[in-house]
Amino acid sequence: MPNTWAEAMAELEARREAGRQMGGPDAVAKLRARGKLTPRDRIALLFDPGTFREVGELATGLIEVPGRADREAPADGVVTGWGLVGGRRVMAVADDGTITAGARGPAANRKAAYLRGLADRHGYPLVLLLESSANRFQSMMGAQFAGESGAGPLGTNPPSARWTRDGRSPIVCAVLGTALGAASFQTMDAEFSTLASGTAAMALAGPPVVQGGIGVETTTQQLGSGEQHATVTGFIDQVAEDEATCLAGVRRFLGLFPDNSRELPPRRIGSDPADRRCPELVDLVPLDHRKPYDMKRVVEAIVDDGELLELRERYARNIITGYARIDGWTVGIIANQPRHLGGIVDVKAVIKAVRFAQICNAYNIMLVFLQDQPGFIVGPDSEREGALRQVVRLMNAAYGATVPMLTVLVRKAYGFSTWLLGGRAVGADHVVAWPSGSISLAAPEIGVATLLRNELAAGELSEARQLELYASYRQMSQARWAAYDFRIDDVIDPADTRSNLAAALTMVEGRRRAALRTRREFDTA
Amino acid sequence: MNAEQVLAALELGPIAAGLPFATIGGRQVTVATAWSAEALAVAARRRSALVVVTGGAGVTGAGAAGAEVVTPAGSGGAGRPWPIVAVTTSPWIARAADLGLLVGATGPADHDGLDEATAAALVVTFLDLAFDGAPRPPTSTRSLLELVPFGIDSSYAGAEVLEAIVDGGRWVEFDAGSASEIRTGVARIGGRSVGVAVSEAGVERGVLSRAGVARVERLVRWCEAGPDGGRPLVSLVDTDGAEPWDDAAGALALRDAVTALRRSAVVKVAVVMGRAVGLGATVLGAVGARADLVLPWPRARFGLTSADAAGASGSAWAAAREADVVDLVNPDDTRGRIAEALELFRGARCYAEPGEEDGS
Repeated sequence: MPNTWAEAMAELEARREAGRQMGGPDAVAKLRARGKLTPRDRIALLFDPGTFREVGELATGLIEVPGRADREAPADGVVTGWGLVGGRRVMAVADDGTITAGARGPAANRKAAYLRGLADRHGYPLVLLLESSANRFQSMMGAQFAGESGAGPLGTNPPSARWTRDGRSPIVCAVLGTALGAASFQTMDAEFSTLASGTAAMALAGPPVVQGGIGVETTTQQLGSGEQHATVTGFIDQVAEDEATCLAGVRRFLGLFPDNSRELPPRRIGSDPADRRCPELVDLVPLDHRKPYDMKRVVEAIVDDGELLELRERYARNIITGYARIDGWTVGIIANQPRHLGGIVDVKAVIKAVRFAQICNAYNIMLVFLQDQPGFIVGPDSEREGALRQVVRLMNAAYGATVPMLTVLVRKAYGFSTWLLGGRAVGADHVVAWPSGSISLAAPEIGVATLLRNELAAGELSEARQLELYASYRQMSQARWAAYDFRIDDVIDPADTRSNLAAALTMVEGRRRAALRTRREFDTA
Repeated sequence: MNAEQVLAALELGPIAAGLPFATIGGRQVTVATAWSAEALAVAARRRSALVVVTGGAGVTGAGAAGAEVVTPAGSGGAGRPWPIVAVTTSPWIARAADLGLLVGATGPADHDGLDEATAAALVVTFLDLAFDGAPRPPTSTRSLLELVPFGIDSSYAGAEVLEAIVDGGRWVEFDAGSASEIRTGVARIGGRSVGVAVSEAGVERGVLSRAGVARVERLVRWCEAGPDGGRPLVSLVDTDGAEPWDDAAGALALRDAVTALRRSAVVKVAVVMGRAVGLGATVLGAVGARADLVLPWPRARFGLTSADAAGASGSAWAAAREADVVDLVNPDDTRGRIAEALELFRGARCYAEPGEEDGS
């Protein structure tokens, strides 16, 4: 203990320097040899230069393992603080993979709880740079495990150290190492998540626990690789090839998102004019409803500078979700992808769309739908997958949305999903169709098969008559009829889609402001 | 005190009939020469501070109407960002000025026994500090390491520390002369108008008396009444606790003070200069008060009791090691760290947590 100011200042600097050394040169070298970055490297990549204020640097954990010498854990294995990202304030908690593989001790948990509390109370985004096998095992063995949850620093005692998922301040999770236990729970509830493929994995429990628990030998990659989360579980918004790409994704997301649910996303008007025409759209989209095309190219043609931050790109590829800007406004895009399964709305597509719509709704992000879909998938497989539950979830999300919704009917708009994906029936503010748009309860073939099933079964309906009926239904389904009845707002030239949406976004902005301050929850990933 | 002389010293020019605007320190204020419901309403409508300068009773429309306007709700209450400044001896107005500044010739005022010129100067300074302004460096060039000896039992003047931290070394005290172990008032740090509380550890080791707790409570009310979610509360803490009150009323008063601070949604930044002991530390926002940031100096000590604080585990170093506090701060960096925190919390988008763990 120092006895003078001079001693105290020297001691303070010495302890800070010890914290900055993390697990020591050998551990840092080992981490880097595995293609990973240290938490301080990551923070340097994430924050604007020179803006990060570290707190909790003096915390020191003690690693006690029976039979081994006790070791100190500088900063208790987690770097915490705040700074600017793109000029806006962001809080951060970064696990230190050089100390017990990033496992947190009690002091580290208090630090993380403090940052979480501040972010929640003051409405700042919280970024978690995760590389953590949950809590430090040796610090949690025995009855001491009973008392750790919810602890916060003595002076601050943040109530939100408790688990909350109420869509007030966004939490962003970058899984940059092994994220197990609590780290994986955080990610499942994050507003945005990213994972560095190859060097990172996310699972409920790691190989030693699996081996000890059920006797199965496995690896972290087998349990929760980036590939698995990108294609099978769909839990991660952006699976990137390396850490730098992950952190660039986080910066991009933060630039599009509001600080909290009481605020609007920042509008950034760039050089892409709002009235830019998109003549290429008519070449991108075939008139024949059976011919596939890439809806992503349609989206990119419409949005500012062609920039779409697509989420869960390789999961439920028949629907596209992501953030973009139109005339500077941040929008959430939900678009059917005819290139995959004809754009049909299946269980996975609904799961993907619902959570995305809920998050947009919680954070005042206007929704833009681009429809080209033949309806919900039906059949025994789909029923077994729980299609009914998912349809109702989508219904609840659509009818419950208070953010403005704008919809473009590009081609097919069939079935109940037409309503639920931004239809006028659920209160969409602006619905327009291209001349190729077609609206109906069902595709003509399904309509005829349903309405005239007895005649079909009896062989009373000739092929020529069937074709005649199909043509008749197609004619009746043309979007222009809906425009004549003002069931939709207009039929527009596809080349004018961008300017039309930009004008509508400006028009509905007032409604978005009116919907602020409503607290809403959203589902886990 | 002669009201006309105060008005003259304020250099407002002649006060015409009705409620004129006047300019004090470049800020428009509403000036009244008698207290009335109308004065309050007009100032509120204009969104201006109200300066009431009276002699004698100084209440017009007395009786029921007069009584009504000086209830706490009528006098502003939480959310009234335009302070009331009263230069008067009227007891009615004394109550109304709870959320502002009261200068009187005699009796329970923030400042009494002042001559007219000094009273007027105080009003001008108060109206300046009650709002955000351009940042100014402190006037003192002395290092806090010189002002405050390292030894925990060493004597120093808390007010001098405060003056070395706030903009221009200027602050206006509330309840001056009451409970000298704690001093409260308004100041600016980095241009931000803040409520300030500073322990005087040289007075009974900063142990809070009942009057001291009342001073802090009033300061919290003042902060809560500020614009945009309230003025931040900055406390410089060195207290060996609160006086043991064994009567029920005293215990309740202490509980209410703790509860009010914990529930308050204003930004709270506490600097622990020395001891942060017991409920005295809580009342001042240093422990368990849901402060946004607690910055102990390296000489600081924490404890439920004085004995706890004196032990090895009571040092700020131990607290920092366990992340019970998130940092230790060089005293000479205190002003910069407070200003940085006020900027960080500027949005004041605080989500209040009513009904949670009220600490009773």
